[in-house]
Amino acid sequence: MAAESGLTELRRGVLGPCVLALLEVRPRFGLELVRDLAAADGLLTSDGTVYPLLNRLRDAGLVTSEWRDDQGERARRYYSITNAGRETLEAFRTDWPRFSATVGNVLNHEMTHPAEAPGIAPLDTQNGIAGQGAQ
Amino acid sequence: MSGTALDHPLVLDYLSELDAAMRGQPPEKVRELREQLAAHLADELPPDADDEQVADALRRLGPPADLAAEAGADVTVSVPPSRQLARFLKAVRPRSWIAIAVVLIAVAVAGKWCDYYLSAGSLQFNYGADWWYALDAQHENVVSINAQNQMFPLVQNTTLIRYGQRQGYVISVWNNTKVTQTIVGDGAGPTVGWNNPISEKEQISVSRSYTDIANGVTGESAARGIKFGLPVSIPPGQSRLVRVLWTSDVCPASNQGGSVSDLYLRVRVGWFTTTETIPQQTWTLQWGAGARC
Repeated sequence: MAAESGLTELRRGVLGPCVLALLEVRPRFGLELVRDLAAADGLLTSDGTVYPLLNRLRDAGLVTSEWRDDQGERARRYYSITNAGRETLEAFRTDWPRFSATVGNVLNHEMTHPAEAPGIAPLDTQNGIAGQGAQ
Repeated sequence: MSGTALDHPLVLDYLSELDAAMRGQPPEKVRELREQLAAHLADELPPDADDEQVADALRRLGPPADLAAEAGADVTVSVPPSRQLARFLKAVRPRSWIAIAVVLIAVAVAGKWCDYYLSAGSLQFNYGADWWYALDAQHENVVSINAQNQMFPLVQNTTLIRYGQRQGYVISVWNNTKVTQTIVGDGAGPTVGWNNPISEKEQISVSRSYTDIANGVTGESAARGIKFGLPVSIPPGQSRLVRVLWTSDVCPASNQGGSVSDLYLRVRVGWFTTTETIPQQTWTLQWGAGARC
């Protein structure tokens, strides 16, 4: 139960940037976005949680929404990324590799204390895990 | 929505549960999430979806309580104050803005208007005055009480008490303000019979037109043909006669009398009715030689 709860929190933390990344490609309507996220295995706890998340992103000014009347179909609300959303996404892209590498190091007991190994390479390049600057 | 999956009893139950779970959250937020989930289901389910399809879609959406908790969660993204303000301003509907603007304009206009009227100033004594009845004017004794003031001379006008009979005076008042002032009645002065020298009762009335009170002509003669009444409005720059009549029904000691020198009037200016105190000449009544009650 605790593991499930932790995974839910983890999903919750990364779902926002993933939504922004999908919207960066093109605007999407709700079900379309849900299906794309669901295709990434394990990312969605439930389909419905996407909508409160979208509303929070909208409230933060990272996405906008508008109604579009698709030809031959009923009107749908499409979500688009804003400039602020792109900036946030870029910042996340910069931070994520180092963050995930750091977490990986800790989980695998591969962290080296600087005092024990003077002169070692910075965290983002040691162990061969590339940071933003090494990509 | 008739004939769609949204009419399915399971969907209706689900949305009712969502409403209950979101109780206490802003109605706009509830409405929006409801609309999003309904659109999701309408996209996902065919109009003739069976129970199993509907139940499966609802299971994938997640328990209403979880969605309500997610919707009620604090915003995890830090929102700068400027954006919060912008969001608030955007959330206010156009109709509300119009109402707010109307209220603000009304308050500003009312404030300006109140200030305009309340600071308008009082009516002024216009230096035309005399006893109303010829009998009183015949016995008057006029003494200057500020002889040094050539521009605004004030006098004390004394006449005899005619016990049990009607007496009175009339004065000219000038509206030297920019607003119409309406005299509505006797003012609340510091003593009973505030505007006359002797009685506890008096009658005040105001002329509906104007004439000068010339020296040597009593008020009754000067104002012949002019109608008096209440209330009477005095437009800016115009004057009217204020008449104060009473029955001298109080019996002072043989060597005493009474005086009055301010005129207290209830005056309406715009929405406001206040008592104006108008300094004027002094009216004095005293006993004649050998007279008594």
